[in-house]
Amino acid sequence: MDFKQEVNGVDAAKAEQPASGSAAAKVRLRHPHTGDIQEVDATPDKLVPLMVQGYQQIPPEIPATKGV
Amino acid sequence: MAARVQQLVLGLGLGEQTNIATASAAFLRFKKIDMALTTPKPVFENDAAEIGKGHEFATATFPSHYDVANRIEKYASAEFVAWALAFGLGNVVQSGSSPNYTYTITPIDPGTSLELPYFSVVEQVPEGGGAAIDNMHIGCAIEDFTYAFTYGPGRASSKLTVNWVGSGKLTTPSGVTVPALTTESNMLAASMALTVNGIDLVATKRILSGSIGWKNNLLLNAGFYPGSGLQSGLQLRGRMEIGARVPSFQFTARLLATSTEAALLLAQTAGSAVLSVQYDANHSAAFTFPQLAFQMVENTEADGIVAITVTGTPEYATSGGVFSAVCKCGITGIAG
Repeated sequence: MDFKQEVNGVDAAKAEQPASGSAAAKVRLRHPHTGDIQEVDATPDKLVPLMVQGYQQIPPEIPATKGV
Repeated sequence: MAARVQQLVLGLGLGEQTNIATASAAFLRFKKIDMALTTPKPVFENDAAEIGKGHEFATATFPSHYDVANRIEKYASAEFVAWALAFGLGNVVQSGSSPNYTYTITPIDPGTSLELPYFSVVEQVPEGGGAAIDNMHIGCAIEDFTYAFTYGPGRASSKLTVNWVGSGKLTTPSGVTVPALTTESNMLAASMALTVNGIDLVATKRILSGSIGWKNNLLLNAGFYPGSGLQSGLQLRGRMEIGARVPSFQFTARLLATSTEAALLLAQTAGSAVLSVQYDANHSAAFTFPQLAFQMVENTEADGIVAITVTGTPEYATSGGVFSAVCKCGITGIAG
């Protein structure tokens, strides 16, 4: 791939991006010790404050039951 | 016959091992820059220092333990950066969908766990119709990673180096069919955005080079606990816990009359530092220190241009922790 092809590829990928402002997906987090479950937007400003407290992502196959 | 090191097939575990002794179920194959091959090093001790033999020489050797470690130096692709930070920091939330899976990554909370996610490393070197090397190292953890950027052209402007340590558990031959090479999206330093303590170092065209590092200081001796297990009579690590972790951030920038770093150092003003690089909108990495003070500001030069090197002190912020990263790439299931 030459440089021009690579630049074209980058531009094409950028053009395929969804419009900004679309609703963020939700992610479920659980604290492994307290069992508390939080469902928050999948954005760093929502996730990081919980993650630094130890909250971890609940894999999709686990039911969202408090205290699982 | 002989084998060339370019024939190395390097496979890194994709998902988190279920425990330190159970091999990864799937692998990613990566290229790397350095030539270092992993040695499954059995360590033996002897009785030379023991008294009562009548001399100071060894009369016997005794199996001790396995010691396995290596480094992976690579150009910083979105895929490898996501892999390295996910396993190196440990708390990973995956969201989004193809083509841009988003990994929000923070260091593990020591109140929750002291163990990082484990992965397996496969190294294969075909030779003469067989294999000169075909090892799978099971139960590996990342000791440290360093993202380094610099001015200059090409992929060398943006690199990531990982040092990893193994439990010692080894499977030979590996029995693994490593997949095809991962398609990597290299994030050149030319794509960088960098704001430190309120200073936009890219907009002012001042930034020259720098590095972001994380060291887990794994408690390696504590991994050899009573009952940790043996392989061929040699002790294996049954755990690798984090020690006192050390984040680091250093950068070199051109020094202008209007530069404020020295004033910020004296005032010990702390602010956020955010560095991001990307290949495109689907392949990127953003590193955030929520609260960074300056520990040292030194005058220097680069290519004859006056500059300063700033060493930061990452501080723990109540809401944002000490460090976090958001990585986007097309691979799903990293450290999951």
